[in-house]
Amino acid sequence: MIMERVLQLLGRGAQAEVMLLAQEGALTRFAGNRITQNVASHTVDLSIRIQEGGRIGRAGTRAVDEASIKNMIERAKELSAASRKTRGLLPLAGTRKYGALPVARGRDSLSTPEERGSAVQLILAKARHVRLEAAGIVSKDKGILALMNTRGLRAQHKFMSGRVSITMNRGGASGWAEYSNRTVALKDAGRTAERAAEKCLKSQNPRSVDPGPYTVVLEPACVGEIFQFMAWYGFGALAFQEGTSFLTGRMGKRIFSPRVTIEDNVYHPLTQGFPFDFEGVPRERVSLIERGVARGLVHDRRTARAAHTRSTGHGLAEPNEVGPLPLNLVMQKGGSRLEDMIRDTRRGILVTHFHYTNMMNPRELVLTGLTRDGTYLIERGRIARPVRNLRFTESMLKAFSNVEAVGREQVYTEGFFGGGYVAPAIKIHNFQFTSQAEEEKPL
Amino acid sequence: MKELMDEALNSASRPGVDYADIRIIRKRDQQFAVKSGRIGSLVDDDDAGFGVRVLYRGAWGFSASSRLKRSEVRRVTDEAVRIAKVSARGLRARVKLSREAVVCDRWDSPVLQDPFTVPPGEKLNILFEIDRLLRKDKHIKVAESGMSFSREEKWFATSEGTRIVQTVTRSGAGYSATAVGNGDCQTRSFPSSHGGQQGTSGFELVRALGLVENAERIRDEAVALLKAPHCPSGELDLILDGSQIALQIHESCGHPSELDRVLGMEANYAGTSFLTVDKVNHFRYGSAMVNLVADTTVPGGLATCGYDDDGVRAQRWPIVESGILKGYHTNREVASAWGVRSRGCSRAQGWGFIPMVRITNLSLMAGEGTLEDIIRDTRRGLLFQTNKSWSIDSRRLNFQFGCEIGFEIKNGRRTRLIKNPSYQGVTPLFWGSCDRIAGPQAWRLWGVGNCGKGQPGQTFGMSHGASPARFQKVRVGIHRA
Repeated sequence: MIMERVLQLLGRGAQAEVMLLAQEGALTRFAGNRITQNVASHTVDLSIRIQEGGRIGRAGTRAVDEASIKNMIERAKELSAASRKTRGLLPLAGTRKYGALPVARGRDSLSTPEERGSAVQLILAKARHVRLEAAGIVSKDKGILALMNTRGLRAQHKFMSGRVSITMNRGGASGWAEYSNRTVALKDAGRTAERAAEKCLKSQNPRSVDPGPYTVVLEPACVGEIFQFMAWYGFGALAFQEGTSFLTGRMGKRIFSPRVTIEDNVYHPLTQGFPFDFEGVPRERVSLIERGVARGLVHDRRTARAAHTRSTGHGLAEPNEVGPLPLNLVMQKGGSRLEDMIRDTRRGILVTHFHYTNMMNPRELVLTGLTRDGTYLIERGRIARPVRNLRFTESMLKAFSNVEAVGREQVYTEGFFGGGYVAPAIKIHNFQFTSQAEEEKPL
Repeated sequence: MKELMDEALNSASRPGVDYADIRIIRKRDQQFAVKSGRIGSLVDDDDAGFGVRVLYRGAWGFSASSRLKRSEVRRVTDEAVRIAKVSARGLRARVKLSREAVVCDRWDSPVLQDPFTVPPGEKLNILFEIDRLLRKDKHIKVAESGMSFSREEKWFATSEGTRIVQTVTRSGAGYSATAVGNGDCQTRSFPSSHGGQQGTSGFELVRALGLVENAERIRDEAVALLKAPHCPSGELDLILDGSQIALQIHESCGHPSELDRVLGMEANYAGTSFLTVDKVNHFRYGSAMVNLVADTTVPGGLATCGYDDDGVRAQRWPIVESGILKGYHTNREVASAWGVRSRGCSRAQGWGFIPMVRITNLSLMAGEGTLEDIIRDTRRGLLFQTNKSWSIDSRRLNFQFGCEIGFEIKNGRRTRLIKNPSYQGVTPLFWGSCDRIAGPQAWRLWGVGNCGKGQPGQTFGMSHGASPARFQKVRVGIHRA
């Protein structure tokens, strides 16, 4: 109703697209075995993109009364009028049909403050039982994203998600576990707490190991974190066309181990997202890396036209500087259990997750970051002992070429708005750790 | 607004509620960006909403909504109380707030030229001129330039009687050029990376930056980097420019001196801190010349304000004095837990977020001389400029930074250009090795507009003042791809 009213108030002549994002979010946060923050918010974001005579302008409002909507339209018109003609500005997308996303499975609760409070009390009880301190969150979000334009496009998707993230701590040694799904229930909070506690108990009294090259077993959260950087710096067609992507000059070539297959697939049952992009184009499943060979890119309508192909439905709200992004990366699972990867490792490091990872060189995909909340030395096929955190500085082109084994269980980790990453654990040889972390003495 | 504020505070006035406040915010944002000859962003957003915070039997509840109506204020306040009651279950230690003055005041940040009165066409003309200059070399494949402006009007009322109205206007601008060739891509930015310079200011900030005047130099440096040798590896004396020092301050002093982190409240996400409270007044954080001062009153700082989101007046205090740890960033909650008055660092991203402890404007005090004096005084070393990447561990000890551009220094002279400069260190050892800081002429505030913290994640901005400084025997050239 509101969106139709916006187009009515706009009047005839201009091309326009209206976007509505209405969200309800709630999050209970705890630390030191008590609730420290407990919040809820209710928001409506309404925006309009106006295109007139090759010019473009966008304005938004959080108020949906008639006066605010009229003011929003005027501000968009003013910007559009002041704008310069954009060469090759595409007309708005026309009507489309959208595929259905997998139905959410599992019991869903934790929507009320009382239910989230019960989940936190369960987590804290499990922490106290083994004399640990717990910090973390229990969150629930739901909302609706809708698009409508003057060419008749109508797109709408209701979404919901839940998340339990826990760090257990004792004496400076910590363990972490997380669960994220469309549905989340009390038992998920309990199981996540048990995993975090187990990690923490195994992390007691860590000792240092020398930095250097190691075989590593990276748990799924590590792989998900690396995928964020691959998504942002390389799998989008604009970065490729500009020559800044790690795939530039490498399309069709083997860049990773044949064990690595990656696609963007919002229809995967574990992921979360939208069946259309922010231009209203249906999201397609796109093969990016096939058995180690660079095979594809995600496109929006602008990059698709430049490449003489069609949009894969990965555009952001126009106008934007970023270009298309893959929001739902999925790495194909392999045949190994985590225990198998550890058993087959003579000497190596098991990493629970990474901290503060960042890009150093986008063309060579060099990342740096630190291990966190559960880093263990593997010796002769067994976890020998916990070790202090380490900093890695490594080219992911090299690392993913050195993948020796891929896990058979995929796990979802949250990513940018409207997406996340589905990844298994992987085992990599010759992974470079460049220093020890958290030492108050020389590196 | 008074009606809405009274509605919230009256509605929250019930048995068990120790404290309540309401923040109502109206905010206007404009973003202009040009990328490689096209409009990259052209947005004008109007945001409004309110958040109600309640302390019930020593436990927090918060709710917020974008519907500015009395009935919605009542509903949201009820929800905040309901949430706080859940927080209070099984609570062992009640939250107490530090005692602070009750205030009725109005504060507006100074503005010489209202950025919203400058026509959009004039802003775009500047950006398109920069874009034209940057793309005059065929190696420049990506040219990005942008400006952003915001005005936030905030009405704040507490159950203690505080009533504050504040208006803060912020402006920012900057650009970057990315050269591609030689199997490589290299980026240079001006006046700093990550969106450029930002501050609490009007359009005068943009006019003073010299944006157009520096575009050709930045373009040429980006192109020259394609053929430059890699940063050497080893231990060398390192000179950092002010903008890189700003991020070094942010990551290695700002975050670890947030008292909520120190007390473990960020343990699941951002991490904790090595600057534990037992270290105050005796821990050697840096060399004797290192003085780091927090200041929410400094003109132009991104975190400059009249009052924080607890209603505590802006102030200036030392975090590190003559190299010794002296203090923290605090809000009323953590200040009370530590037994002191609040330093006024409680800030929220907007009306929909609960305030938390935030780094404020935190600056390295100036020393003596110029950058050229420091270079002349360096026998063998490197000069790094403009941040490219950053990473630091969860206790804020082990850091690694990459910069956009570097220069070798030999026998007191700046020599050849180097690319992919990077360095790594341990916070107190690194600051302990600081042996030269340039003087006030080279000192300026650098806005950091994208600081993320908390769950749900909040973004906030602050500034860090710095002049170029030198550090001895730093590990450089961490990775050569």
